[in-house]
Amino acid sequence: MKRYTIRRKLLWLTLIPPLAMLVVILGYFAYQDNKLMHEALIERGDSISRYLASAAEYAVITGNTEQLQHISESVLQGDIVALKVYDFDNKIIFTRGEITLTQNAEGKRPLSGTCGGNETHQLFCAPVVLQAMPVSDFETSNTIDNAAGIGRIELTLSTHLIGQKRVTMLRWSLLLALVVVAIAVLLSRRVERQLVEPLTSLSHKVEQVRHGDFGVQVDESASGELLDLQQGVNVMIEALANSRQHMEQEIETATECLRNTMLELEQRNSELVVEQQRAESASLAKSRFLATMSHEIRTPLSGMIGMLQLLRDNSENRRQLDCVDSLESAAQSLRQLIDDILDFSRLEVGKLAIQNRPFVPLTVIEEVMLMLTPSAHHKGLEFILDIDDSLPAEVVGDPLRFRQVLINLAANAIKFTDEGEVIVVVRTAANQQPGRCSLRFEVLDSGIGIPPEKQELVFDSFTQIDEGDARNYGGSGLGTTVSRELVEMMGGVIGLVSDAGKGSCFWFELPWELREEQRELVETAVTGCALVLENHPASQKAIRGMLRRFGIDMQLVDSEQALLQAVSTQEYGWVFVAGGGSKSTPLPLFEKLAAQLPAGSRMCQLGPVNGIRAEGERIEYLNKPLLPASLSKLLAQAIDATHDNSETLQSGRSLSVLLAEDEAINARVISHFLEQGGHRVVRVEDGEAALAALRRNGFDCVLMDLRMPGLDGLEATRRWRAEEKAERLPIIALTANASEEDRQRCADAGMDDYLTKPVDSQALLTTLARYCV
Amino acid sequence: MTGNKYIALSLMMLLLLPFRVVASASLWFIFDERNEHHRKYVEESEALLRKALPDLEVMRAGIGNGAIPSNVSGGRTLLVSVGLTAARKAAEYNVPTVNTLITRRSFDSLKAIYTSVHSSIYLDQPVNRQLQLVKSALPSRNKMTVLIGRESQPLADEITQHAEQLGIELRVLNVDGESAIDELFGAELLAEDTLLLLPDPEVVNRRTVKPLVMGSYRQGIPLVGYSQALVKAGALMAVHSSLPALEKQLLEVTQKYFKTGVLPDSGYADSFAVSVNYQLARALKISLPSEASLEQTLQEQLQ
Repeated sequence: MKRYTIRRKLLWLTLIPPLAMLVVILGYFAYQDNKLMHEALIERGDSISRYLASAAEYAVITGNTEQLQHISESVLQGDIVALKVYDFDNKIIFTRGEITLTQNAEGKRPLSGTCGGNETHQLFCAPVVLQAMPVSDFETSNTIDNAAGIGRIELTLSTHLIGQKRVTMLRWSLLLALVVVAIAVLLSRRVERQLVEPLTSLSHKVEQVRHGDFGVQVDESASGELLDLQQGVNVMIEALANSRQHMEQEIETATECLRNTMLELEQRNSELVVEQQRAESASLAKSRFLATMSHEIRTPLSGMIGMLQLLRDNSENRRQLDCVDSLESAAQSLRQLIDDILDFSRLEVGKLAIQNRPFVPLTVIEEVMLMLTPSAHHKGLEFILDIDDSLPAEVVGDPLRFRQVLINLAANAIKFTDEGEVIVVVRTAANQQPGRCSLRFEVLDSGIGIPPEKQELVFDSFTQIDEGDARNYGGSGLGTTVSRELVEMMGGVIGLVSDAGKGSCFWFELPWELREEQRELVETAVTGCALVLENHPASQKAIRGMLRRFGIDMQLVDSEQALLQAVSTQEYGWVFVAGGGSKSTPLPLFEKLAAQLPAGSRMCQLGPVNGIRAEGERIEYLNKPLLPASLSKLLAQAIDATHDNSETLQSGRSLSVLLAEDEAINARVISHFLEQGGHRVVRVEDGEAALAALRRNGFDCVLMDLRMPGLDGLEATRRWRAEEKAERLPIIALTANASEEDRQRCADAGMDDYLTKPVDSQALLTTLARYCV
Repeated sequence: MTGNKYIALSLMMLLLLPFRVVASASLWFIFDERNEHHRKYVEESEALLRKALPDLEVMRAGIGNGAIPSNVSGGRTLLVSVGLTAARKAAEYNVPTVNTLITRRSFDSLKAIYTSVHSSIYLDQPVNRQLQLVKSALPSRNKMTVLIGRESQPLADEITQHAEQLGIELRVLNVDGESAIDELFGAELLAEDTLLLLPDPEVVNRRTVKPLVMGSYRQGIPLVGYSQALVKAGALMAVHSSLPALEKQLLEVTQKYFKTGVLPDSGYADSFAVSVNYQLARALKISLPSEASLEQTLQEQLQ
């Protein structure tokens, strides 16, 4: 209907209602007329049949057929076509007009009224009764007998006349309908001329206006509302024309403004491009400057630190040692400051990328613990590692950044703790995702703590909680800021819980992807029971967890007497005694134990790195904290009974190391560290010499400086890897640049690992031990 | 107390004495309450009795409802039965009874059965009145046929005797069953001047009246009946009892009984009425005087 024109809609609206009403009315009257005709037929037939029955009473009584003939002649005309008269015995005594109709069943046939028929005829029945008449003056009505039937008549009426009347009525109905339709069409035409044509004209004019022709005018020839509409459209066209003219002017003005603005923007854009190029150049220059400065500062600094360590190792004068310690501490602080500034600048320019490669988190944790243990023990702190059993063996992530964060937090804890303990706790985080492992690392200390109002500032750049702290403890305040950035880049979260004066808990959670093939973390497992003398509660818990990882039950005692009492009553495979320091030794206790312990039992002293070792048969020594790697090695040695006290603690055997380093001071320092670790060192000054040495002699490991005159470390490594035939030789890079690009370049060249200069002796030996055990 | 006062008192007691005797009399109507004619008769008779005998205690009892006290006894009590059924009911009491609205033949049959029935006012008219009516109204028609059934058989001799006295040539036609009526006119057995009908249910009933009327009409024979209903049905005329005449007759019998203590003999009502179907008379081309004139003539001739 929507797509129909007004003309067609008007035609339909004019025709449909009267037609519908006509159909309904004609239908109703046709139905009523048909019904009335049928009822009239029934009533007429019924009354005629009853009249005939009454009239035939005497004839039926007397059997006078002549009278019946006379009666029938007066009745049988028109649609009355047949008459039959029956006597009391239901025998036909008179018939006229032979029409055979289907009668109702005997039981359903009424005494009077319609008693059968078909489509063209209707049969009526009426009983012929003997009318009872009173003969006495005082008889009662209720004593009058019912009229007795003495026969019946059947009268047949034709319905042909009804059909004719019905046809006539339909003809008249159709004629009337046609008249109504004709009138409706005429009315529609008239309305169309008065209403539709002006509207159509208006529509055409509006269409012209829609196409931009504002010069048209509507002929105001209609009347009434249509005239108002025509006038209104003319006014609207005029208003639209004015509005369009005004709008065009405004558009012209706006276009001019826009054009000017575009010119200004283009100029600004050009200037910005120039500024951006200038800034990028400055940034590049800054990065180059940072890299250069990093290398240039680190190279002499590493030499200074190395020489200080050599000087301390070779000096026996207490005052000189104190001076060396102070100098070394200052140098370490300076190196840390440079590292933090370098990382921070990289983070700021977004050049610090996160790696994703498989690594063993326990190894990284142990390295960090080994690295920081000396500084903690020198301050007299308990340094404890508490690891959950659920620590996955291997994950996919960035081990270097993880290590950096853990070092930052643990080093900070050690820095700000004067007494008590620093505990590194590794747990599974609460929220886990399928295929991933989220670990929570907590570094708890008993240090100075942080007031609540300043805890939010801890992770801000260059923030020290107290200006006095900077003076007391040193540092730039960049460590926690860098840690937060790194943790967030790795998809983790970081935070702290602290109470001023009672210590702090720095924590972070990292989500790592699990490696599909998890190798067994604990390679050496023994059974049995160990007796442990340890007074520090947190250390007790950590030792218990560590021994349980190796299947060893632990009985804990807190005094020497209890220890001796325990060994006198029960046999233990291992007796661990935590004790001894830089000035005392538990040797007398071990001697008493040795006297009581059976021959197969072994003893182990758990002491600080600067502690005095109790030398003796069956006495082992492990640095605190108790780490899985060192405990595993101790247990394995005990099982094999091949322990050699002369071997170095870290690597277990003397290695032949090729050191390619052009800086003489650094080479001297590194050589000294290696020799102190019991290793043999062959030094060369460039890549060509390194390759020649490698071709001549067999080495267990190579320490390769990246920047050397002539053939640099990267190229030398690539060439060696190309011609290497035997077992892959571990090549560890030495670099002052700790950038991700440098690490990737090292890995691409075929290097296995890298060490950042200035090289720390502990880190050096730990790295060697990792690749050459 | 003075002598005049004693005289006045004595006169008052003498005046009251007969009233006290009459006041103790009672009359019971026994009737079928469902019959409107009987109910009308009782109501009008009761009104007439109360007006004429104000001290008479008049009471009603329907048949079968036991309204009459069981210890009712004779002396000052009179039962009036209305109709045949009430007459049978009243016969159960040993009390003087007047049977009304009952034909002579019915009363005779009851009298043979019950001894307690004492008197009756017949509903029908004596045959001599019917014959006299024909003689008075149709003096030129001397031939007459009378239809006799089993119940009216005892009247055959009486009517024959009266006809002879009036100079009427009477033919007695015995009718045996209703079928005989149908055959009566079909065979055109009637060729007489007048057809006389007597109250005999076997001959004249609701079913036979129409053939009788129609048949006689078709053959141009005037039909003389015995009731106003027959005249309405198509008889030419009839002499019959009227309610006022019967009520008047009952009043006379009652007054006589309570006055003498003896019931009069059974008999016909002294008064009667004549009804004429003038429409039929015109159809039969018969000219008849008015009903009142005929009544007057008949009264005079019967006296």
